[in-house]
Formats: sequence, C-alpha cells, structure tokens
Amino acid sequence: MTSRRAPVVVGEWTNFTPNSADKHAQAYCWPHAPTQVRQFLSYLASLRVGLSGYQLAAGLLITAEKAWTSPTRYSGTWSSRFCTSSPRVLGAGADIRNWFSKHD
Amino acid sequence: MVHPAGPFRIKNKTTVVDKKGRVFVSYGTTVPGLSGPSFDPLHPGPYVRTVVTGKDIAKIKATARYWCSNTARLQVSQYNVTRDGSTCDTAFLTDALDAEVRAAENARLVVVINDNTKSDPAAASERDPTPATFTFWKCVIGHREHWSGGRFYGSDPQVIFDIFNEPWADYCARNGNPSSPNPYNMQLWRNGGTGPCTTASARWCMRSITRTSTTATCRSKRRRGGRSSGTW
Repeated sequence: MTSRRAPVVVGEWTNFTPNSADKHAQAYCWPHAPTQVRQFLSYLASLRVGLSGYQLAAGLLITAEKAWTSPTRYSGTWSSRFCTSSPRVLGAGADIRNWFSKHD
Repeated sequence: MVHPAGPFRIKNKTTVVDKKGRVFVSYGTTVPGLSGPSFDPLHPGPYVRTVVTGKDIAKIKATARYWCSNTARLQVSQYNVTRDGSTCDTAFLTDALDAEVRAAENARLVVVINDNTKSDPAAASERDPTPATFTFWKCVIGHREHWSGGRFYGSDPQVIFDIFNEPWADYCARNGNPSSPNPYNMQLWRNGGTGPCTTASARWCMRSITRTSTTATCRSKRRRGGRSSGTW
C-alpha cells in the first residue's frame, strides 16, 4: 500500500471471538483484538483505504440476528484465550461502525 | 452523509473520486446470501423468499441506515449465474440479483458485485478464475436491469465489479512446495496455469486444472464494452 501505485480497499474483513473450537473461525480473532483492531482501522484511515465488513450476522458484526443497532464489541476484561474459548460474544462491530461514522 | 455517485475514476494514482469530484472511500458490509448456490431456476420462489427478501435486503437496508456506509458488496455464486459455465441463468439474475442491486441503489449505496465460488459444487476446481468466470462476467455485464431505465449492469455507474473472491490456487501451490522461498508469489493468479500440488493434503490440485489468467478476465470484460465504474 505504501508504494502508492493504485487505490486499495480491504474487500472483506472481520474480527470476532468464535463460539466453537473451529480453527478456521479462530483465525479471525486477533490475540490483542481490543487494541489491534483500532490500530488497524487507524492505519487504514491514514491511507484512505476503505473496508467491507463481514457481515451483519449474529456473533460477527452484530450480537444477534437482525439486531442491526447492537454491534459486537471488544469490551471488558480481555484475554487472548478468548480467541479459543470466550465467555461471551465479542467482536469488532462497534469499532467498525464507529470508524464508518467518522468518515461518512 | 455523502452518497457517492458514479461513475468513479482514479485521480492521482491512489484516490478515487465520484462524478462530482468528491473523494470516494468505500465503507460498507459484505452481504453473502447470493453466494449460496442453491437457486433453482425452475422454482425460484423459495430461494428468493428465504435468501433475498428474508435476509439480504434487510442487511442492505441496515448497511445504509444504521452502519453509516456507502457500499454494499454482494457475493454472488458463480454457479447460480452459470450452471454449465457457458450459458446465463437469467432467472437468477432477474429474480435474485436484480432485487438486491435495486434495493442497494434505492438506499443510495454503491453496489459491488463479487464472483464467489467458495460454496459452489465445483469449488475445488474453481479456486482461481476459469473459463466459467468469463461467462459469469459476460452474463452479469450483459444483463439488463429489470426496473425503470433498463440499463445493463455493464453501464450502471453505481455498480463496481469485484473480479473474484479470495483466489486460493496459489495457496495450494504453497502446500505443494512448503520449502518454497516465495510461497505467496501469486503466479497462478497473475499468469494462470495448472494446479501443481502433489501432497496428500492437497490432492484436489492433482486434477491439473487449467486456470485462466486474471488479466485475461479483465480484458474480456473490456471487450464486451462494459462502462460501469470499474473493477476491484
């Protein structure tokens, strides 16, 4: 991106704590998500790079099906262990939504 | 809230602007319902009720209304558009895709149409673009929207084409050559070729699938005269 040769967009991105032992799903959870997600979004903003969040479904960007205004959050005490076993639904929905709202 | 208006163009290499010269940075959500390859052209009703009106359109509206977004990215099953890889399923384009594109445009969103093979019956042999991908784009670009105006998708300035979802034939190449110094060189994506994998964990690639280069895919679309906002 820093070569500045073409416009860039993050075509599909998400971050959440999986509710299963699915290794594939666990790959979408960053070990220091509460800080890393915000750093990542700030980095994209600094380069004016857009993003498509995946997706408005329970446990991903929102907490329950059709709960459009109830985004998932990385809030409260955090442990990287939550990426393999989380006591509750956590995700980057609120960070993404806030980030969108700053730039619309 | 700014509602970007296409056509879009690149200005100063890395900046995209809309027709009014405003900077366009795409913010939005991916709406994946149409990537489910279960559309039945003889009985479209259940799919439309369950997927289109039952899920996706609500997500599109929420993207615009509650998520401060300017873009809806629609993931579309290549199989739904072209079952045999050579002809177009107009029922899917009219009953399913049209409904979602129209809903997004009515919500004043930019629409991204994405070719997705991840859930298709032939997913294992469609990990990168193939001739069926050419057909997919030929069908989409040449489809006439079934609402007032009747434009072709290829000339709808609010529509952007996202060539291929998560190409991963080169991931297979990495598995086949774990000691490769440059496992992510994306040679199959860049140049086309055949699947090279021979390891037990990647037997699917032993079928020696001929893939088509992405560059050729782009050229094909341009030859068709598509004049939409562009490709991702």
